Amino acid sequence: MADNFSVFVVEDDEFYSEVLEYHLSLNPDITVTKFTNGKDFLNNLDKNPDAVTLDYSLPDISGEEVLRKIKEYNSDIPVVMISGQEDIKTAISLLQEGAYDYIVKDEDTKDRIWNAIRNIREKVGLKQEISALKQQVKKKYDFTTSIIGNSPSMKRVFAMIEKAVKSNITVSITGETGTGKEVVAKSIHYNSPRAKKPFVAVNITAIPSELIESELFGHEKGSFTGASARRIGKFEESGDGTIFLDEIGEMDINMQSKLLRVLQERELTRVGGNGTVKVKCRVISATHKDLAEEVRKGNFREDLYYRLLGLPVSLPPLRERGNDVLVLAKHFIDEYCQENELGKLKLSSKAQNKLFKYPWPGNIRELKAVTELCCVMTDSDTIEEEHITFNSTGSIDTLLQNEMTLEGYKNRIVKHFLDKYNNDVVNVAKKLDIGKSTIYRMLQERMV
Amino acid sequence: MTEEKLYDLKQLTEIAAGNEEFITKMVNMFLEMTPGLVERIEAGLQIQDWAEVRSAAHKMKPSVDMMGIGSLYDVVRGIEGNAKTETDLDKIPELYFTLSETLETVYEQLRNR
Repeated sequence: MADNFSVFVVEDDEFYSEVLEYHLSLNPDITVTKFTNGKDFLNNLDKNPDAVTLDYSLPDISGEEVLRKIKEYNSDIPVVMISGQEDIKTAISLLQEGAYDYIVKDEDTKDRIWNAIRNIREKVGLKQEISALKQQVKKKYDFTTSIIGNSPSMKRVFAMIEKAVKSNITVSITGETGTGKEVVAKSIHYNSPRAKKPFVAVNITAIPSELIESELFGHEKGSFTGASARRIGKFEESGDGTIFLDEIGEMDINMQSKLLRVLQERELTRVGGNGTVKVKCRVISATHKDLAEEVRKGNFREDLYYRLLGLPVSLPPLRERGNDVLVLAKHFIDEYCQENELGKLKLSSKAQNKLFKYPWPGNIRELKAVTELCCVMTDSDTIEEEHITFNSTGSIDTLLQNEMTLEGYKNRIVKHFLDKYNNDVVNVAKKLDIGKSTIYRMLQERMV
Repeated sequence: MTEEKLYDLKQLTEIAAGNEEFITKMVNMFLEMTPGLVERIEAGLQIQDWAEVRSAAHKMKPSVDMMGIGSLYDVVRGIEGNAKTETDLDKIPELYFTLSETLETVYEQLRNR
């Protein structure tokens, strides 16, 4: 909430003005300045009060006219209109002109004004908080600082982001899991002229296929079981901002045609609705799949592919980014130390070598997790080789990193299949084309 | 016989939140300002300037309410309303008479409170 809150009281009735000043000043955070006519007040409007209480019947200018001038000067200044008599028509008209509230002078006035000012203060406080957070977000997603890397492949990415920021073109981002597709999408949004508008991210894989249409385009009340009220979809929620369709390659083929129609027509119809709603948002899509290949396989509509392609930004996997691994590792270590109020940590050369050699199947996401764990594991100001633990799953590259004996790899493979097929030895033997007795022997000797 | 108190400072006392000085200040302000407004109504009545009558009555309303002069609640509104719509204008002098008589008593009571 704002610390010092300035309220201008515009009231020609000195008696009433005195009461208002006294009542509002009971809150020590509120500073009241009184004006007995519209002209004096308007001459001081450049002092930008946090709120104004304005008498409807001023001697020189009508309250309505003063309200209009305030709104012309700064529409954010909340104005509480105070009138000597209840007049619904006037009240509606003033509220339509932008008045925050309309209060009639009666025995409840003081409480109503108190509440109105309290609500305005809360609103101003929230606005300031939102504005500060927006600044923070903008700073966070300034791509020159949020996306880190000096490798030639990343320099190409920066060049593409810069183009995307300056234009309104649809953007398609490709890259393996963990390469930072959403960070890039946010960077484009928060550095574009749409920065102050919403950024709405939708992960296609996270929504059951039967709900995706309603999630994206909204639904009308009663359009399906459970649709108890009208709900707007993610496209409408994005407004003039950006919608980020993550994992677009996973979208069901039927849904693809509905999405295509919306992108072509730039309008949508809510599920169960008849009317259309204009679509104004920018579309950024992302996938870890090779969409062109998916088109060839018949899994992705060619027309939608071209509609979404726009400016393609291809994010390289970390293993192809050379020295960026170390640049990023140092960045994550510094960030972790700062967030956790730890002293500076450095990487020993052997630790750097270990990080550098690893293929990073989980890309930047994995690097961040590994480096954070290093920070926890070390007891000194240096991260050594032994503090680095890789926990990647499912990658053959990762498995090979362990540099085990052939016998060791054989045991791991058999164990993997036994786990996968619930210790069904017959099935595993068939899958690996080995004898059942071999597996039984391995089990007996506790090799697996 | 004790004269009935025509005002009630309950609302003002509530706002004052225990500040007696503020109550005194507001009572004095009322005593200073109101006679001028009564005079404006009277002058307006004499020349049938209903806009002036309405404006003065309108301005008097909040302080009359704040001082808790319940018997004048409808009177002051009657003067304002009739003058505004210019209907039942013949009732305004009578209402004015009640207003000024009552206020004279209130002034007296407030000075001696």
